[in-house]
Amino acid sequence: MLEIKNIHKTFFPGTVNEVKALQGVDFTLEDGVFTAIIGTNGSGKSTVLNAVAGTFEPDAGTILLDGRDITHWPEFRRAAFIGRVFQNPFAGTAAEMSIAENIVMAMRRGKRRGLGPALGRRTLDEIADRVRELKMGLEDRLHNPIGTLSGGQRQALTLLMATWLRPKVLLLDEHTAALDPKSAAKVAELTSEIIAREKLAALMVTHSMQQAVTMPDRILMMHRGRVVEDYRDEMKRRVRIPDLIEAFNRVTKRELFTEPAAAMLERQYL
Amino acid sequence: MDLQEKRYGTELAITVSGRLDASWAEFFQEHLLRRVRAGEHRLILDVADLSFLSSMGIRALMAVYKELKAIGGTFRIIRASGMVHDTLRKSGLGQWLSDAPLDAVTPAPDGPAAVAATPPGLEHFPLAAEGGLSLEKVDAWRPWQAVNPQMSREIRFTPDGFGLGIGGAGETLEAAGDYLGEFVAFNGQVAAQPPDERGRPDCLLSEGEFVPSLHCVQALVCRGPLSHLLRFRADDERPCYPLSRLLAEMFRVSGAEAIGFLVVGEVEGLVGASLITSPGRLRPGMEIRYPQVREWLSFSGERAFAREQAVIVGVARRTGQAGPEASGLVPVAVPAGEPPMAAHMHAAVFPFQMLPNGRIEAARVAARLFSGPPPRAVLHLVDDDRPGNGLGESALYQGACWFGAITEGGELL
Repeated sequence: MLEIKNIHKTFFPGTVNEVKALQGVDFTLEDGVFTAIIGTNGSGKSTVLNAVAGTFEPDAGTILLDGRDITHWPEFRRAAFIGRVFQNPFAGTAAEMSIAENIVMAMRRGKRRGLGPALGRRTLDEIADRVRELKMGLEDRLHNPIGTLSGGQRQALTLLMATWLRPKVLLLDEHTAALDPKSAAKVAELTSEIIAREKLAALMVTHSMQQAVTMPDRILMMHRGRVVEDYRDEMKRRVRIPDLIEAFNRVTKRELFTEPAAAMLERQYL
Repeated sequence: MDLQEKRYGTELAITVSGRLDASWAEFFQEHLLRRVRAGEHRLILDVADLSFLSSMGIRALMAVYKELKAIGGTFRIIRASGMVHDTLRKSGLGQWLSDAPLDAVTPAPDGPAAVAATPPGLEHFPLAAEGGLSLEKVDAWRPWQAVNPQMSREIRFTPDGFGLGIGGAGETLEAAGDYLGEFVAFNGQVAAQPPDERGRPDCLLSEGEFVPSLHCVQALVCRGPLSHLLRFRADDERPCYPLSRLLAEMFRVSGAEAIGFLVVGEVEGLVGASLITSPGRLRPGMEIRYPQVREWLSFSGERAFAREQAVIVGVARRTGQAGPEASGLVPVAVPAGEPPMAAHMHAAVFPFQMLPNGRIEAARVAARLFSGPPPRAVLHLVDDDRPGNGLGESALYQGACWFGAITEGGELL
């Protein structure tokens, strides 16, 4: 279980570029619950993911993983518990290494690594079995450099690698956004399958309302560094794309209700 | 596929050539429906050069036909031959086929014509109505004071009236106290906005012996016959009708000092506000200022609901020297050369539905809207006159205004 308690983060404080990226974000991610984060550009979606991954330390607030305070843990230490897939399909794998070599590194993530050969017969068979489940025919190309694959194939493998050691939390940062529509649909389908099968706690940032409505168990909507909507259980099952658009509109409407608008309404709203 | 258009009197002939199949059916249907929406309710389809018509094409024709039928339009297919003629006839759609030549204009539906001497874009139909409207008013709440329960009243919305206000449904005012929000009522049908930012507007419809009623803390209700119908349609000269323009026309046509009205029309943009916390929760001594007011009221913030259908109910009067605020009316932007006016208007926004042309009955139009998909919002309309960045007043593209003089209770305004 991941608990995010009242975290704040301001980038470039005191400068003209100051950005209050997170302004008191508070939520709990239970095990086995797949949660999507949606929000406008600059709302803090990816910053939340980065805070969990440990890319930076928050200015205030705490992050607990299974009750342990990991707020001040460096990124590499958290990597043993956290799987991550980025938007860029080329970011999660080493292009010049083969599929098998990439995967074997993921299999040993956070473990002690010796000097013996990493890829024995049994390991290769295990890799082939799991890669076969992607139904992309990649099990016959395990020794090809991963850089020769398409973006969709690489993203599917990154997803497999990120979840190989059943992480406590899986972070997906718009991981289908850079793919063509067919590959995006395939990777989205794999994502749902893997998360359901492994019962992972997953946090997915997405701009796709369609994905937000169909894939996860819960939707958090962020705006200006805060969670402004939290759809879960029955609410989540009831929510449709127009409801999400309506929720975005509500937030924008509030911002357009300025002091001069209030003065106008004082005369006009009787 | 290629589409060419030519006008014959009141009919628009569309020549279709090529194939009307699955690849083109959607494009074709959307094109024709756009024409219907723009007021072309009498269509001729010239299919002399149509080489193929598939079932998907027939489905598109059916969609256009149904739309036209619902609004009293006409639809005929001319110069069909060979396979297209055969397909239509064997599909049981032979009644669409017409042998009449292109310029044989089908007669317009019966009904009295509009009275002349209205500006272009407008048509005026006097309605056979005796007497004027009587006005009933409830004034138990003003922002942001506590509700005065002694002044509130339960109003039954019978089919002989229309109105607007702030109210809620419940056994007693106390029970309705947390649910007071904007409403519009017409012909025994009520659309009410719950005072909740996430809430969806609800409808209460007269059914059998059931008559909708609301505990009202504000209300302006007119009863009696509507004596005029004014149709309006935007054109190149006048891209849309701001409500003040329509009000000025209604005053001009009726010659009255105070009027009650119902407007149904396609929205160019609505500017308004609605309660998001019930005024029933206000307590004496509470001070609601900016920014707390944002917890009580939601402002549209932009010209909203473009291309939807609005049902606007209001009362208005020409104003003299006295300040109008005491009456519950707000001054309206005055078109050049018109006397000052004040009005109180609420709008219920429905998904767009086409209206028949010419003389139409308010009750039938409203019944169709209220019994269809639920309204998207109910709001109090405002004229955002902030200099520089104000959103202006609400405006419509096309529609109908029914209105009448308030002959009883006008002193309440």
